[in-house]
Amino acid sequence: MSGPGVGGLVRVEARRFRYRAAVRWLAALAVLAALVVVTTVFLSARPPSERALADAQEQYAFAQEDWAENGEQYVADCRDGEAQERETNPDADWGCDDLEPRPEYYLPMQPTLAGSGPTWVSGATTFLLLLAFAAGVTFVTAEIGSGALGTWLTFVPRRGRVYASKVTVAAAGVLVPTALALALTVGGAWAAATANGAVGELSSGWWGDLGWQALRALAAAAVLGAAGAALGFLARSAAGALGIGVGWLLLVDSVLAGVVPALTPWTLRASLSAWLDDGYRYWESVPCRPVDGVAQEGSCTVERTVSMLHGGVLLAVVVAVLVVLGLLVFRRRDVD
Amino acid sequence: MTELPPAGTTAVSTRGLRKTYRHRGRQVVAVGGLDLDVPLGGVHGFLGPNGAGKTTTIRMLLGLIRPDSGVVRVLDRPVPAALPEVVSRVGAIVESPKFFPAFSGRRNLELLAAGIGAPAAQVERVLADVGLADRASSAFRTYSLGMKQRLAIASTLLKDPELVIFDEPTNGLDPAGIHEVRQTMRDLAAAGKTVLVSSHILAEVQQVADTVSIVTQGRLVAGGRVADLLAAAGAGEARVGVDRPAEAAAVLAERGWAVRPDGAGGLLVAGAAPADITRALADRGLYLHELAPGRADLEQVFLALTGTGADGTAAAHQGRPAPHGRRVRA
Repeated sequence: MSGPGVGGLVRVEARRFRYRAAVRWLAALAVLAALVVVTTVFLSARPPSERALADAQEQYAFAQEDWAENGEQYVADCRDGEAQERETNPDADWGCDDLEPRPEYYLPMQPTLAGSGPTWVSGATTFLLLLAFAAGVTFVTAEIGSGALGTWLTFVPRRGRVYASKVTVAAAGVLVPTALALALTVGGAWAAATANGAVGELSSGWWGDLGWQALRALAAAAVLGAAGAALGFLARSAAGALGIGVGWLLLVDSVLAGVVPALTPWTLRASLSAWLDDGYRYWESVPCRPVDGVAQEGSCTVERTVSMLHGGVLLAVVVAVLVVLGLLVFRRRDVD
Repeated sequence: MTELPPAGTTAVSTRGLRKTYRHRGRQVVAVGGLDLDVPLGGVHGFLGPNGAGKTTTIRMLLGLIRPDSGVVRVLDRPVPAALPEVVSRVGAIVESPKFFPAFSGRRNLELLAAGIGAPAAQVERVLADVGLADRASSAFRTYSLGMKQRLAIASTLLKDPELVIFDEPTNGLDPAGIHEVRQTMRDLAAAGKTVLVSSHILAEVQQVADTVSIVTQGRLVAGGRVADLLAAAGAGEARVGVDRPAEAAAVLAERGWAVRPDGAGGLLVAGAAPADITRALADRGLYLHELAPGRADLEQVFLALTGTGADGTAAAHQGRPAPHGRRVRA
């Protein structure tokens, strides 16, 4: 009786993953997170009330009176300021031809699914990824903490296979609840927007982009599930693994990016955002460029972007290193 | 390091097995060059005070701990290299039974059975064998200690093993549970399997074991058949019953004989003929009410060899040096 191979072990681990109460709780939290987003969408997408419309009308009337009286001066001031800035920034555009008040400026903003859908999905995804990471961590650390891993190794002593099957299931196991929660978020947001007449124009391209965004979120969930499992093997306790993972994202990444903004592309947080949101923008202070050959003093702020590909590759490399490190340690480490 | 015994004669053999840990910056020797032989068939007691390295040794046999050096052979295969080949023939309970607390007994066994490709029907059979069928659906954490132990025994039976290892199997059990575990070990041995049981409850091991190995500080100090060890330990001693044992002990010690309390109000005297003992005491007005050949039990052997109680505390007879390194072979 040599026991099953990796495929058979993956099936056993998938059963164990499904049976775990903590995993079920995390899946329930994922659904709850989706419902919270949908509720928020429903509340924020409601059409403005009669009272809000009356207030907006009143403010618009005041603005028109003010424009009739001072509009020419506002435009002149605007052009002066724009001309002054163009001395150092030839591309400066203050939009001085578009200063006249319009009614829509004073209406409460009503987000539409077409305009805000990707942001809503992105908001839900952040929480879902945290849950995926936690599921990977607890899947491994509960077994280590209870001592059941030692019992398991007296039945299946091939540590490489044991490790591979657990990490594989941690990655694959989070896909179903994450996909369910994302589908609930998109479907619920569509229903909420439809009920409020705030759908907007949804082209096939829009749906394609949203689908691609959801696929990237699923991939990130799988990667974070695997990372959680690997970190669980390394730290051997849920508190330790979660502390390292979340602590790194919140503290080390923030400190790195805050002290040396140029390192932002190499932080996990920026890379994850870039992967999920098709790029991540950040700003960096650099010495100002010469204008017309004349050197400028002080520093200027420039916008930079971390590309989706950069973010994806960096995440993949970090998680691959983590998984390999976990395997090497687990193969050699004594088990209680 | 002596050579390993010929194949087919032992279930477990180790030579020069060594494991050290770092503890608070210090190197601690848990097992220090252990040579162990567990014969095929029967029950083999693995004895030693707390901290003697018994559990560490068992963990190394099972591949849970990596030895620093030494050779391990289990069922004639080198371990850990060939562990995957022999693991299906080895059942083991290391320290307390360890399963997922929230899973039922049945679910825990089903996962283990799936891990070795055992049929699902086997789970119900072993649950019935250990009398847990009625509580198989309850969460493991709700089990009593005895039930946990029975579930652990059921898990070892999933494999139909040739070698079964029990590490302190009766810890925390009530007398009925202890009797049950003892009976299970005897039944397994009667079925032709080898049982290796580590314990510090010496009376229990004496009742169930055919052979023993005694370790202290990670090294073997004695081993062999229980009957031979007891005979060797009791040989040459006389049990003396007398009204004033302290006075009698002083009189006998004056003659140069080794005297120690027998733990029951009498004395054990070594190196003296019974007639000489009678005469020496009578000369001082001390009269015997009992004079018999000494009968050692396993605890006395253990105390003499390890110099400690089974719980690791110093033995009461500290005046008598323990003969470390003594080996008794059948």
